[in-house]
Amino acid sequence: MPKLIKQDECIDNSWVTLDKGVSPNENTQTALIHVSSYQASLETAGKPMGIWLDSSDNLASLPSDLGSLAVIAINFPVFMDGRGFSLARQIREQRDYRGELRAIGNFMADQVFYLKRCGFDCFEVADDVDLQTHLKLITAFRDTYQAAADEPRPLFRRRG
Amino acid sequence: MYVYDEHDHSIIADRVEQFRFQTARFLEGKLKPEEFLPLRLQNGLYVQRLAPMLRIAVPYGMLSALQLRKLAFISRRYDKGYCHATTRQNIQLNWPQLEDVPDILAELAEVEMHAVQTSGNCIRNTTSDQFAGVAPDEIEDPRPYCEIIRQWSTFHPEFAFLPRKFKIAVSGAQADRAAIQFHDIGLQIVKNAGGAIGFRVYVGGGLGRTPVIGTVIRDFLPEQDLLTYLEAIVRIYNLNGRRDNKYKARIKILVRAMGAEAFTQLVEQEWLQLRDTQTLLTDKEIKRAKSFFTAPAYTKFDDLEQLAPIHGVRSNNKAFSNWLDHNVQAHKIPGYRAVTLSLKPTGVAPGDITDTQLETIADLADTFSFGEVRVSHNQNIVLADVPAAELFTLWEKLVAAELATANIGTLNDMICCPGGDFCSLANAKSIPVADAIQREFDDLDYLYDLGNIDVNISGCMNACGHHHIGHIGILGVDKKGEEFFQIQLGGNSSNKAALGDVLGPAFGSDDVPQVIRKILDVYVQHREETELFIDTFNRIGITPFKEKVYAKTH
Repeated sequence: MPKLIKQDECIDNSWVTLDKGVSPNENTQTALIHVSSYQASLETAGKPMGIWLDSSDNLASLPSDLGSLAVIAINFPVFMDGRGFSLARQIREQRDYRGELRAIGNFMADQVFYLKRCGFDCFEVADDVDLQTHLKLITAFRDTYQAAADEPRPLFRRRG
Repeated sequence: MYVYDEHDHSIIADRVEQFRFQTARFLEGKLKPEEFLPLRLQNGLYVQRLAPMLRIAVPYGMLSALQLRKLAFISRRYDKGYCHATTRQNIQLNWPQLEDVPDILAELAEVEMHAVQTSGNCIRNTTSDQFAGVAPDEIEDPRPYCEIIRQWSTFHPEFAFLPRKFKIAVSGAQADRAAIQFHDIGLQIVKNAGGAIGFRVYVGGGLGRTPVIGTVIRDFLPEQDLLTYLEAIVRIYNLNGRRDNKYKARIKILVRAMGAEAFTQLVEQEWLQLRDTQTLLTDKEIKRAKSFFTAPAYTKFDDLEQLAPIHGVRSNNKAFSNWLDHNVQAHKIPGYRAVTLSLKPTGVAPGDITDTQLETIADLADTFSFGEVRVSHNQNIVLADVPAAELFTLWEKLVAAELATANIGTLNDMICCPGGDFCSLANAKSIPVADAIQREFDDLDYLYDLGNIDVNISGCMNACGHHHIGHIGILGVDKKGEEFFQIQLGGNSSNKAALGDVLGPAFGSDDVPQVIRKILDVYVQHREETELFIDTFNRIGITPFKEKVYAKTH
């Protein structure tokens, strides 16, 4: 079972990710539901727990109210597919989402610094991923030039 | 020239350590080759036919004497004593060892240099006019804006895994010397009626397998909106560009598929979300960027007085006179000239430069040109601020360093990719063809009589040698394992942007010089007075050239 890294530590992962088109039933505990099944799952399960978007999904597919979601996850089908970086920033900066934004799928450890800057604060990683390596990679740079989800001011507004 | 502050130093130092860690993990087998691939590419490191190739970034072509000396040292210590100037104004090492690359990056960082994003599917080095800041036809110096773009694009967290590479060029002059209409984004500095600075924005130009001339999506973008607008364009591309086929992944394909109007609409919609964010440029920041590109301490000269001693020498010295006519360019300040150092002498791969030449250029820059040089996208080096009275002294030193070949702008000043001698993508060896052409046309008077002709050679359809936009373009193709060369005519990288037309069936490499000669014969036969090759071609069309080249000999 893949583990989660959040706020510099490994945490238990009881989440299951349901395939596209699959809705939760009464027995489902903590599940990520694909965004396309969100409305249907509201009717069956009553309360949605988390949703996931694929890299081909767009901002418009999100429900109008994000406040009740515990998690929004974005899937990286392959690590070269960088759409999730833009999608994450749009969710944070345009939809003003403050809950957990989780990267799932095939992103790689060396991308976590950029993922963090785009608004991800939780990473679903393989069991053998070394936390120390992750922590080193996520803090690769002490300083940055651009504004992003983690810092609204570009460097030119922070320079003395 | 831009000078790093503690932020820039910290960012580049962290990059060196990041790459050292990545390289170590790769060498230990902890990082798979396919994972290391995009990471090393974004540090300019390719694995080529014979050895790795490291592409070092030269932001918009500017280099200081100190940086030249460092490049000389690196070429000697870590390579075979030479390096190569590229069409993106960068410098390449052809033979470094993978294990040495982190150390090379650390050496570069000492002189405020790096190899950041010189390859990979990210925003590449922003290019510009090699005569920026000194050209008489300049509207506004593009370099401060290039530096602003450099900082914004460096490690941009959202745009490191784009569908494909992304190239931006900025021109600040009347004449486009940066081929901005052949970039993913081309920016032309303009002034509006009120004198405010802004940009005409071209999108979706490019070369490669599908050459396209860029489309204007905005006639006037105020300068403060530069970064928010770029961010909107690149985001729309990142979200919508094709990722299923790398040959259809550039922004030009997206703009074509959607139509420029629909694409522009998406960009403008996204921009509404971005335009009022803090990425909006401040006047303070624009002023800060401009403060690094102020005029050097020019002496107030009288132009004619400065030239008087030169005129005396030139009448008795044909070689010097030729060089003055072809390698010395006008300057906006009286008594100064820009000088182009030719990296295209016959017998040397176009754009190659040795360690000792780099050191000589550094000394000459210190003595004659305020300690700075520029790499041009035509693969030459420019000393931009030379007092006219010093031209003869400078020329003598350049002759000794084999940097004074008086062929700038001529047929022999070819743009040429490294080709099959180095590159693993190439179908054909482009360097020997360039050499054969230079040997065929070794009569300088004939070359000068022909006037300026852009000859561009690519060893494959990826078009690193810009063959589509040469007046004469030469493309290496592979036919059943044999190398052939296709000729294109009528391409143009200037304001009158045009793509070349294919002349006809390809030729064997031995035939290329004779084919070029026939093409030139047609031109000489048809030209009117001082008409340039490209203008004659545009007037008479391709047919007379076809008839001559493919005529049956009975």
